Amino acid sequence: MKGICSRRSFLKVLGAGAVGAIASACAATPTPQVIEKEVTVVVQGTPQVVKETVVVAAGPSGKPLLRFFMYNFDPWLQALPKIFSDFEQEVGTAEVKLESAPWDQFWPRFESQAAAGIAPDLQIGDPFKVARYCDKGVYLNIDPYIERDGVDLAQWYPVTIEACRFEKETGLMGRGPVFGLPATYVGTVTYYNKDLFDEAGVGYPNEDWTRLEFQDAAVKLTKDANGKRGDEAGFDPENVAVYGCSTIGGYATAVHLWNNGGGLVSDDQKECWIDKPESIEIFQWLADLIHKYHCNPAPAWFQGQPDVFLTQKIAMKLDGTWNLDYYVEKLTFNWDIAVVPKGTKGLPRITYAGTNTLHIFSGTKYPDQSWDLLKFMAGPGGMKYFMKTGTPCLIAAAESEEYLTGKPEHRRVAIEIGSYARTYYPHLGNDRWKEIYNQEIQALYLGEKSAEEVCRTICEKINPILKEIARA
Amino acid sequence: MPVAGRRAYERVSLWERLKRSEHAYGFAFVAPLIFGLLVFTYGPVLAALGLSFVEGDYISISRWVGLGNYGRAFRDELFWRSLVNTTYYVIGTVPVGMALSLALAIAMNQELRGIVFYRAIFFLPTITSAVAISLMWAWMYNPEFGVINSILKMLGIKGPMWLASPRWALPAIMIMSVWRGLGYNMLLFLAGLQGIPKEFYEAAEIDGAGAWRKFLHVTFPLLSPTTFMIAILSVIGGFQVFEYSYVMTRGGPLYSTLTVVLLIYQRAFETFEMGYASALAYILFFIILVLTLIQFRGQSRWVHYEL
Repeated sequence: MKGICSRRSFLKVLGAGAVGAIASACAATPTPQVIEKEVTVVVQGTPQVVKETVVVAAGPSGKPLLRFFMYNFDPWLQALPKIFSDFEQEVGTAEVKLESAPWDQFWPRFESQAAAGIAPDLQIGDPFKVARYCDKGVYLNIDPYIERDGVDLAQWYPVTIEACRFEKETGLMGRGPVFGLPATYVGTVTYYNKDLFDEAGVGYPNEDWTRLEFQDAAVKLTKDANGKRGDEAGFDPENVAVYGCSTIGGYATAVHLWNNGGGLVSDDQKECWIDKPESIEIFQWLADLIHKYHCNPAPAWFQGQPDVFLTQKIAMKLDGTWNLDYYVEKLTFNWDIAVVPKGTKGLPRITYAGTNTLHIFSGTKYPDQSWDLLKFMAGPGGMKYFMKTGTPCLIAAAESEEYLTGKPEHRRVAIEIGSYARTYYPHLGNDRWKEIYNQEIQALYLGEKSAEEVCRTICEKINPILKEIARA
Repeated sequence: MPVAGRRAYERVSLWERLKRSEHAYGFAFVAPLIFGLLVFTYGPVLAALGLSFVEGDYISISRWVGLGNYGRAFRDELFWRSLVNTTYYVIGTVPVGMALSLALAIAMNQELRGIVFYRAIFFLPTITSAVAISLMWAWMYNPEFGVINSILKMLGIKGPMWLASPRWALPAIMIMSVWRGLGYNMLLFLAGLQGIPKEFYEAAEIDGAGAWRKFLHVTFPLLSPTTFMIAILSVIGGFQVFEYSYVMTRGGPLYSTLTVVLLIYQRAFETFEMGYASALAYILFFIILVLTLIQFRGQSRWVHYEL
């Protein structure tokens, strides 16, 4: 019996399909051009200008095609095509293609591409990985370009430029040559629910708030299922309906430590500071907020719950400004932001800031065009769109009426932190000791050990690692 | 004396034989799969073996350390911790999971109305994403608002902190894992049960055997090849457990849910120590290999392919 399709006709259809696919694939790619020009080549991570004949891959218009790599983060994925379109029209030295990947695949993919020398020309950085890529020569040192074009680095917030500097000799961030430019930054502030404050008769957080005033307010704001406040007789800590605060977590904890003269490790990352008396005092205080004052939930309480500030189960929290625009859109109650509690013993107030940095791959074939794009993105052209995704690092953009207009009332707090914030230990090898800290500290919050015991154990484990990773 | 036909056959080249026979088509059709298997499975497996002897990451393979990575693993407190956790997980989930699956399969082997629907219901967790299930159980395990502690509270019992407790986090994951694996093992047992000829049961009934004796002397021995296969697969799967602790606890609290594969993942994709991660992967491979061989050795004592 003859089938509905003979082998010959099946192969014909298959062949025609393959030819069609090849033809259409070829049609989409313009012919590469061979040109002689002055190009910048990267020698040991530093760009140098030389004359040579190059073959350039080109976009549909014949201009170099730059690839920009971004992880899946919707606000940026929406803003980037607009920035690239403006760049192509206003600067026009290259075309730009956006490539993206989910966060957990982003870094392994980038690492493999960088190893193969085919990484995208530009990409977003991560505060805790920048040191690694600068050290490995993956990111381009842009000092020669900054010098050539006379770029004034003071136009960005200092902490955000610090996030782009790396010194190979010491392995420390915040000093040495510049390896990228900043786009947006986020920092730790106090979010508070005005309605819950009014209900409890507690004054709003202000510039003069100390850590202990923060604690008093948190206790008064805490309410059990029977309506009893945290400072009232008969309060049931086993049945809390609203907690006064949430102030335990990586950045929030660090902010309290810094404002008390403590820290996790020394600024040169050579010594563990977790067992300093100033640090132990803070860790014990944080544990007391959970187990003694019952005004801050234990970490387990958050499991599987949606945002507890949004659901009004927390009256105030120390958290990052990455939630700012999300809350403007989602929150239905009255709320605002304030600075973090001030330093103790006359110490100046410090908070945390993390920067979304932009970097050029040192193996790019188009360093000049990549620099053009980088400068455009970190300048007013990019900030026009970046300010919809977070606080712009460019001071002029952050101070603009366009950014400062709107909710919450004290929106300015979010940009002012750029002047007194610091980074969260971004130095080379930070992941090795942070892994230990993050696991071991849980014994404290679970109430299994005292702060002193936990802190000493952590430092005993961390100090040998710090010695191992220390350079100069 | 040479056989004429044989001589004629020998003169034909391999290429000619391929052209004449249907072997060529066969090879052509399996070629993409074989190619993929060689390049994307066996290639990385061999590459990982090579990587396990060097110290380095993706960007720079720095230096040859011989068995240094293997030595480091045996000195690494976290590796031993993860191995103990994983072993505890396997011991806690495999026997219990198999016993419950068998009971469920026997229940689902009845000729009842809508039985296919019930089988589908029990199989549903198996085809649901592990991440979605982990997130759902994380919410169920919430000490204050979770449904599990709420039920316990109604019964007058104060529930544990589950995923936040170093003592309860791994058992919590094990309970979820057993629940999720029930449907898959049930299906395998069901296939095994339906393959047992009815004549055996009829003969046993004539001999006066009750339900328990029939199970003990007919069902269980004839099901032993299926049981053996499930045991092998469950032990291998158990040692490779990863996604639950990755999604729910990230190995915490206090490393109580750190499994070997999670440690491999952390070293490979978080701290980018590819050499060390490859060595850990090979150590795990040998552990699984040895355990599987032991199981194969032991099968003659209890696996019956006929009565």
